[in-house]
Amino acid sequence: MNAKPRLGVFKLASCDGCQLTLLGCEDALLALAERVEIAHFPEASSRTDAHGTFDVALVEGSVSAPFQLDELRSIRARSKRLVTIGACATAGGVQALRNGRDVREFIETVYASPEYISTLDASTPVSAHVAVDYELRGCPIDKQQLLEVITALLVGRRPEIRDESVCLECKRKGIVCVLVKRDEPCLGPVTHGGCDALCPTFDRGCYGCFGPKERAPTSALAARFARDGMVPVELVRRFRGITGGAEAFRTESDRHE
Amino acid sequence: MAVDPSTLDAMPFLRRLAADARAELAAIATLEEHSAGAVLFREGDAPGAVFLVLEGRVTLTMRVGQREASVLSLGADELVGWSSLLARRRVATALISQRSRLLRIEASPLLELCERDARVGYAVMAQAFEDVSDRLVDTRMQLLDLYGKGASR
Amino acid sequence: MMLARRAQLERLFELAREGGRALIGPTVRDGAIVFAEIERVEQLPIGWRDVQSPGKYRLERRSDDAAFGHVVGPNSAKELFFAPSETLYRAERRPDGKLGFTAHKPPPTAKALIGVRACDLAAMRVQDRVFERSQFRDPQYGARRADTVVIGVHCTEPGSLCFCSSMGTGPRVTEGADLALAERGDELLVDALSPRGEALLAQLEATEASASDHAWLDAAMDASRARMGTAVDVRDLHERLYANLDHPRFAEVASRCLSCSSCTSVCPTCFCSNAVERSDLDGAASSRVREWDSCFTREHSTLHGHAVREQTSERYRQWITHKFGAWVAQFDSSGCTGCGRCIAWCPAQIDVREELAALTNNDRRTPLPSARSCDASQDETLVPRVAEVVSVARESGDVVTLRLRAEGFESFAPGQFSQLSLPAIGEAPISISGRDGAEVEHTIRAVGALTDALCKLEPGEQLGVRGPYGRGWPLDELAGGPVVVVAGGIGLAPLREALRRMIADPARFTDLRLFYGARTPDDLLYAREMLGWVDRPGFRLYATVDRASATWRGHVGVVTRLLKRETVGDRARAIICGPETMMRFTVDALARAGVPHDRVWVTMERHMKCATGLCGRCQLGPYFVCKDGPVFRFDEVASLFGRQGI
Ligand SMILES: Cc1cc2nc3c(=O)[nH]c(=O)nc-3n(C[C@H](O)[C@H](O)[C@H](O)COP(=O)(O)OP(=O)(O)OC[C@H]3O[C@@H](n4cnc5c(N)ncnc54)[C@H](O)[C@@H]3O)c2cc1C
Ligand code: SF4
Ligand code: SF4
Ligand code: SF4
Ligand code: FES
Repeated sequence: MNAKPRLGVFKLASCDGCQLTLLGCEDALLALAERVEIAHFPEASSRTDAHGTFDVALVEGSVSAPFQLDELRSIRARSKRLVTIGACATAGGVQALRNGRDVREFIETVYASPEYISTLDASTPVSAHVAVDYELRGCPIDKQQLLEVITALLVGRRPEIRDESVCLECKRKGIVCVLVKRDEPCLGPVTHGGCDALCPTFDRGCYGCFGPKERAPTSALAARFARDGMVPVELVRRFRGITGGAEAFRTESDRHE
Repeated sequence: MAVDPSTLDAMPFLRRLAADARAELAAIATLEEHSAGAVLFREGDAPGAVFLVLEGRVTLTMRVGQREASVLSLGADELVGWSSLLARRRVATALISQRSRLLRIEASPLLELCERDARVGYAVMAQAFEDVSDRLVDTRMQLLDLYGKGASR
Repeated sequence: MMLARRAQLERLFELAREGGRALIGPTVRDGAIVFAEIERVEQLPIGWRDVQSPGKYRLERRSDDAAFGHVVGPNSAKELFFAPSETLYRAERRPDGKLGFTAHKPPPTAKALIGVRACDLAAMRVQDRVFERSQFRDPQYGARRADTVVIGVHCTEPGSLCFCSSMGTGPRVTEGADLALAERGDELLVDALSPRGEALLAQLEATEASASDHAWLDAAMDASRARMGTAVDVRDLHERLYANLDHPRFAEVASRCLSCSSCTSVCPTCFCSNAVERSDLDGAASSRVREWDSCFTREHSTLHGHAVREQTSERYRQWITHKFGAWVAQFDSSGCTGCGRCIAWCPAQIDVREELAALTNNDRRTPLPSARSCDASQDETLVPRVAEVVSVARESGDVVTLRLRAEGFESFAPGQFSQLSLPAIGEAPISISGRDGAEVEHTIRAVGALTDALCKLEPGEQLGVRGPYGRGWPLDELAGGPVVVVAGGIGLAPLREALRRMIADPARFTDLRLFYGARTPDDLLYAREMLGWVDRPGFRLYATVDRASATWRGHVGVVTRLLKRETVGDRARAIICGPETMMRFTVDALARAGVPHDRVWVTMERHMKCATGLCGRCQLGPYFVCKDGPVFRFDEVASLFGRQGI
């Protein structure tokens, strides 16, 4: 019998929310532990092995400080498959809102002793630094998708996480479109599905947590919002959300600034 | 072996040439036979003769590091070594891979003939150009690595 | 026609729900009139109307208390029969390694539908044609669709996006329902359109309608039609669309379209689906799940990591030319019923009526093949049979031939393919490369997860198979004259059994030549077997490779160069299988040699999920590559072949 595949869970600049999703898998996590050795998961256990080798490394968080870059390269070197989990690791996260602005100024405003803060000018996604085998989007990530990635990688197939709009999820679920029925500025048409249409299910517009889908003609959507009377400052805000650092959303918000 | 002009009459390659022009060409050509394994010329050699395959197979090979790779094989009615007409060093090695009969024409008398008789010059160059352009298309297809991974079935 | 008080709806609800039938009808929910299960008459949208315009839908109070004073909403009966997401089968790997596949049957729930509009009745007929009366019948759809009571409603007040009058599907309910109702104040005009409808009607308190009632309904229908006018010019629409595949309007509409898939999802006739593996966590079992898909997703057309339709313009073209064009060739009717949903629910406010007019603003026409009739449908559960690997032959570094013990291949045609699967990993189309008694062979190249795993199977191990599917090589048409076979790479696999049969029959195949190109000498498939062929009467083999070491004495160069060297003769017929680029150059070389397109056959490859014409993935213009192909006579596909984004 082969040794069980080893799984490691790592964290860079992030809020731990995505790791909590993994913890929230409870029963599933137990079943999973039958098949994999969870060798490193600081959020869950003090028994950690940060330096071993891994079959699958799940990386949460963006690269925001110099030491994180070193750590990330080391994780990559020791892992067969590296999966980024969540908006931070995949697109830079909310932290990326500082990109292109004066970081020193932020630090001096926010921290009492700014001299202790070592940070990079930009918060960047993991893929800007090392090869990523799979990106799992969301803020936080979706439990089903996380389990899908792990089970797929265990049998060696591509995870069945489709790069398609939130609209398709709404339609399969029978949710009445909030944009059509009351002009709610929903980002669903240009956003990567995976949340099972969480916000529209609660009768709200999509905030774009999972980031832009493969084809994200944000300007065509912004044009619709504008026809419905949305003013430029609101357009900027709308596209500058949790995944505001992602290319398609960033350029769209910049356009209206 | 000297060439009987009627040998050239049957060759599609020279179909553009008038009978008297073919005779002029025949006068500077010789017939050769080679058995498998013989080498016509080697990559890097000084320019020399050009060949037309009458029968058999000639394979062009190139050095890649320490090994020789075959890049193209040529058969009946195809040209070998015609970059000599541009006075270039041999760009590939020509290896006889199957017993072959060839028409050999030394480059300098051929160029002289082409200069002297524009009809021959045009016909030879037009034919060579067509051949080169076909080979370019083929080479592109080879480059596409159609049967490689990631390519369509 | 009979006349009843509207209060008879109570009785009708009772009758419809008899025997525990679920009654589904219009009701107000989440700010729209949706089609959902209801129990009482008060749940109908009494006193509501819907106001629709491109990308907008609003509910408004009516001045009266009409129950059917609205038109179609965001959903339709489609979701009741063709489930948005459903398990096709469960697959299990037992501790001894043996496999088991169990079909998943939808629970039989008898349904009654009320308030179905003429356009949606037409949509049900369109979907019935797709799922029940094509070459393969979908039992899941069939089980849900069977024994459904349908009560239709005539549209006396069409919506502003309705164009059923153009599409010839409404506003009057004339077929596909058991009963047809018209609401007139507190009266109902009721017509029975089937024996079951008559039985229902007999149990209502109703009187024979008068001549003036008939006249009222006729006038109401005329007025309704007049209000809609002619929004879409349907004359030869399919041919006019196919003549405009390069229309600049496609690029223009693509600058507005979000490629969001809303239009296809709300469309009551779209039938595309995806099928994926869902593994259980313990790894022992998995499910094959089918879900609604759309030609606006990238995944819909991916082939070898690239999307055939990468651009939004290409996806928009696929949807509009399928719906209003190719559909006619595939199913003998338009795929559009004129319900207007795709206009209302398009977040980008694109109006398909305007796009159609703009795309066909000229007189050009391109004929499409006429619809193939289908005399007999066979049930296709999409559930694999268990097959066992008998032996494995390694053909080259990344190609193996699996010899399988499997049932159902007794009478396959060379060129047909199977769907091979491994639980939890996936399923893929693989050509049948040979048969020997009860055993079938498949030659597989490891290019991805599934093919990697298939190539690693060992004798005694099991896998799933479905098939054989598709149209094979036209051996009878080839017999008698010279035959040229051109193969590239793994493309020799689908040709091998055809070659074997032709070689074994020298009386009918007197002059047979195989031109075979591979990457390197090590990649030449079936080398040993081919050596055995060369001394067969009438057979000649020409093999060439793209690159080789200097010790290789064979041909080096592309296969078309070999073809040019040989005299093919204009009496020849040719069959080709290889990468599209190689086939394109080969067809050209053959044409120069005098072999016309209608004597050349090629195989096409598209992304496939079902292999039975049910998932819509493999479409190539008017064809489904899975059932109309994969072998096509070249002139059938010449205008689409190698064309970007088709
Ligand atoms: C009619 C037909 C006959 C075929 N016959 C053979 C054969 O005899 N031998 C052989 O080795 N291959 C054959 N193929 C190709 C084979 O189906 C694909 O290589 C296979 O689907 C890849 O699956 P995978 O899971 O290993 O790869 P994946 O991990 O899915 O990805 C590998 C690549 O293959 C593409 N692909 C995935 N699924 C399909 C699909 N259903 N159809 C086409 N491409 C797909 C993907 O775009 C991807 O880039 C045939 C394809 C068709 C349509
Ligand atoms: S194409 Fe549009 S109008 Fe036609 S049936 Fe589909 S949703 Fe209705
Ligand atoms: S291909 Fe046709 S049936 Fe499939 S989603 Fe597109 S328009 Fe609808
Ligand atoms: S036409 Fe409209 S609904 Fe359809 S994909 Fe484009 S934006 Fe979405
Ligand atoms: S329709 Fe599903 S593969 Fe052809």
